[in-house]
Amino acid sequence: MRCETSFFSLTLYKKHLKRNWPLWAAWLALWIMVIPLQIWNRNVWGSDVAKFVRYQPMDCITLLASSLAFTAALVAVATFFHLFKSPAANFVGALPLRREGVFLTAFAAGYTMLVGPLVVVTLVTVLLEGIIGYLAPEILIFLAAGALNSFFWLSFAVLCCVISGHAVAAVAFYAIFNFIVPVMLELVEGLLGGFLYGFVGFGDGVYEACGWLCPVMQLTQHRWQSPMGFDDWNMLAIYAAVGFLMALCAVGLHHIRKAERSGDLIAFDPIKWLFKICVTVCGGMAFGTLFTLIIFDSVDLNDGWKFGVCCAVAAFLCYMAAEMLLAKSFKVWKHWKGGVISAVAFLLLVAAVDMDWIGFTTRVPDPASVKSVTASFSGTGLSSAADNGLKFTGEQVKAITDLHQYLVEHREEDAGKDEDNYLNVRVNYKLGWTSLQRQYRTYYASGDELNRLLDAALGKGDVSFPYERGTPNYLSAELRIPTGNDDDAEYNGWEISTEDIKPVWDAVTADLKAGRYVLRAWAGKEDEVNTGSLHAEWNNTAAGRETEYYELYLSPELTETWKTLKELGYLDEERPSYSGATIVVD
Amino acid sequence: MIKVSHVEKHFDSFHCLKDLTMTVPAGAVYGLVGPNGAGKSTILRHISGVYQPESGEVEVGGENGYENPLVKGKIACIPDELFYFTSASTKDMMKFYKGIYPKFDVERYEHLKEAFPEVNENSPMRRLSKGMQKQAAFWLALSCRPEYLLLDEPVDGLDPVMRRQVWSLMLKDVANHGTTVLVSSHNLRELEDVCDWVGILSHGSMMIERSLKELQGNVVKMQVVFQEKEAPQFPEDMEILHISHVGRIHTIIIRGTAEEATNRLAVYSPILLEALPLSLEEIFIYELGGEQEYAVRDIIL
Repeated sequence: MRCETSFFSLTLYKKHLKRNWPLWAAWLALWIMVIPLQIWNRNVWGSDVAKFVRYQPMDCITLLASSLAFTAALVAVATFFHLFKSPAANFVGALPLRREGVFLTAFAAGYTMLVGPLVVVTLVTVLLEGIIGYLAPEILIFLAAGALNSFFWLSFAVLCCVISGHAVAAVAFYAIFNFIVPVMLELVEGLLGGFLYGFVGFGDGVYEACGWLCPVMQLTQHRWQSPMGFDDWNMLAIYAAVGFLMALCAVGLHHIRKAERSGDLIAFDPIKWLFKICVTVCGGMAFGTLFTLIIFDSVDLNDGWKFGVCCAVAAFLCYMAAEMLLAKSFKVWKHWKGGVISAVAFLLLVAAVDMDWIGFTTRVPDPASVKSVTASFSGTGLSSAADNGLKFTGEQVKAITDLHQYLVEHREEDAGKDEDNYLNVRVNYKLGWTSLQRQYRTYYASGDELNRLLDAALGKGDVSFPYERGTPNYLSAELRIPTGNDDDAEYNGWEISTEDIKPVWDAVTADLKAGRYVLRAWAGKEDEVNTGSLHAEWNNTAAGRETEYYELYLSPELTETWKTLKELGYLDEERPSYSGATIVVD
Repeated sequence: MIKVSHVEKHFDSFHCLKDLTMTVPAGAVYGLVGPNGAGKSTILRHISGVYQPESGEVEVGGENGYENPLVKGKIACIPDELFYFTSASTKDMMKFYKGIYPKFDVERYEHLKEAFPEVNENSPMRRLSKGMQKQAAFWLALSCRPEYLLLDEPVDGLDPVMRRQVWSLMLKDVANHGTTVLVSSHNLRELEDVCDWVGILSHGSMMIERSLKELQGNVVKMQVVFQEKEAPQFPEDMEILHISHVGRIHTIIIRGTAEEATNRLAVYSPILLEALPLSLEEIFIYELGGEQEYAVRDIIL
């Protein structure tokens, strides 16, 4: 085929495949060993082949995702070789091919190198299954997952190659982009949690969203099922769509990329700025924390200036390191101003957070502006009913804002208090369109102001119970049976049998609806009466495989529950516990 | 024809090409001369469609070559740094070029085998010596039947016999097929025998661009012995580029033809009057002179 104006060159395509044969041959060998060879071995030496031909391809999808992440990077570097060295760039640039043609040919060759071997493995497996008489469709699911996954990983790696002009840098960027978001999220959350009194964290939603930005973890931690459900296809389709967008970006950037940028760390000037900012911010925080740990032995966030100075030094060094990497030279002192600006910016940022310039720490909503509050309390002397959440509306809100105000105003008074009496408070205010979340850990003593405010709040709130979830799928109980000896008690762990779940839960529901529960843990006569806890689980079928949990403190007030447990024999000494033996705790 | 008009190019803060304008006539052998860093390779990469000019235009056969496969298909390049696929032999590269270049001539490739007897076409190119690799590059480039042949420092690494051989092949192509050859070099002497046009680049700008005929016919070196010991006062319209003397023999470089110069000096009734040919490097030295001397010295010494 003579390629004068087309967007694809068969000659170049063949050349890619021919010169990179060790890559795709190794990839093919890996999968031949992992699937058809294993099936063959199982058929010859093992048993349950019918099950194995179904499970093996599905189990391998996780391995496929992780190995594709690695192989796609190698394939992208091999097929886009012209991006990294000047002679290669000049050679390919002078060929009578359009840039899009060069891109699409290289991409198609790369994709063929990844998916071609999987197609061969599928055909071999189908043939083998046919011979041994256990044809199963799972191998086709494996192929579909491989095809979609390959597209994502290859697009991702190619985009990194196009952005960079250096093969090692491209692979490094690819690896960093895979993990940078969750790592930085953890670091920032940890630091903010240390600086900002009451900081809750970013929440599950943020982590779930950011999880998508860590495709290695997202794809390898996903549990693939046969037949594939909506979740499975959804994940593959989303990443394939993202891969398509990345490929579009890559082809656009490849079109405008200057050939003379080959060999540069970053091939585009605007991205160089982005690179400097990212290296400075991420490196400033990470190395600032590390320096603080090394120099001051711990990240004591009460001395914010230490951390600030370390971060500023780290930011300066990281900025200069970024300049060195971009210039490929150590002589970058002429850029010292940028380093100083970065250091000052970091100092100001740490000062702003440490000194709470935005009033995060002291903010307590006006009760009138609060639609509702959900608060949970845990700690010494509190039952799981308090931990499961209390709701406050209208006049009730003031009880919680008073407690909140007290916590904020006395935030620096914890030192020296009895750490055995701790209190965790977590509040979630609904303020019209927005919400405000805070969590605190503090210490209290009986009779002090905090204890009084806590009592007031516990007395006002409406306790929430999971009535709407119905009967749980799983129920277990941890029971403390006093022996009469002040120091000893028997702890029995019971898994409530399937047939007993409903009567026990009905009894629990009857107790709760009758108001027979306590928010303060039952105290005073623990050595005379039975206490314990109940753990319930619901499989949320509507949301796939997610499970919801509920913990309930079994105080003596739950008379109906105790009665049912006794009737069903769970208090009998002869009944074996699920742990196989009665646990005796001194 | 290759036409470069007011091309500008920066590499970061380095201003590589400054308003560069040059014209390579069709069927000419154009020598692009300049010291290291003058921008020779850069302009060749613009012409071959690798680089895009920041401003100005580069036309090859009346069309812009950047992102134009039709134009690029007519161009064969031999860059200063050769590239070949890892483990590829000359034969492998031939097969590749055959699929890529529309006019690749396999017969010519086979025919040229005799011209490059030392190159083993089945041996990986990376195992060949630098000179052999260069020969293989010429072999492949000439087999592409290019209308435009761009050569960047082409004969570096070739022995004198092979240099002559390669130039002979190229000049045959020029004579038989009207191939336009643009060749860069940092050495003027190397191009003197083969080029019919020369352009000198310095610091990204074209200092001078002339046809060799024009240059050689327009400047003449006269050796004169006057009646008097001292040279007479010459009229102002006589454009004397340089004058020197050893004893009573004066050497005068005059712009104009040998005939004109002889006629004008004859009026002084000299004892001796002789017109001598100038070498290319002498012409450039006298043409450029002054501030440009440094750059010129770099390319002729």
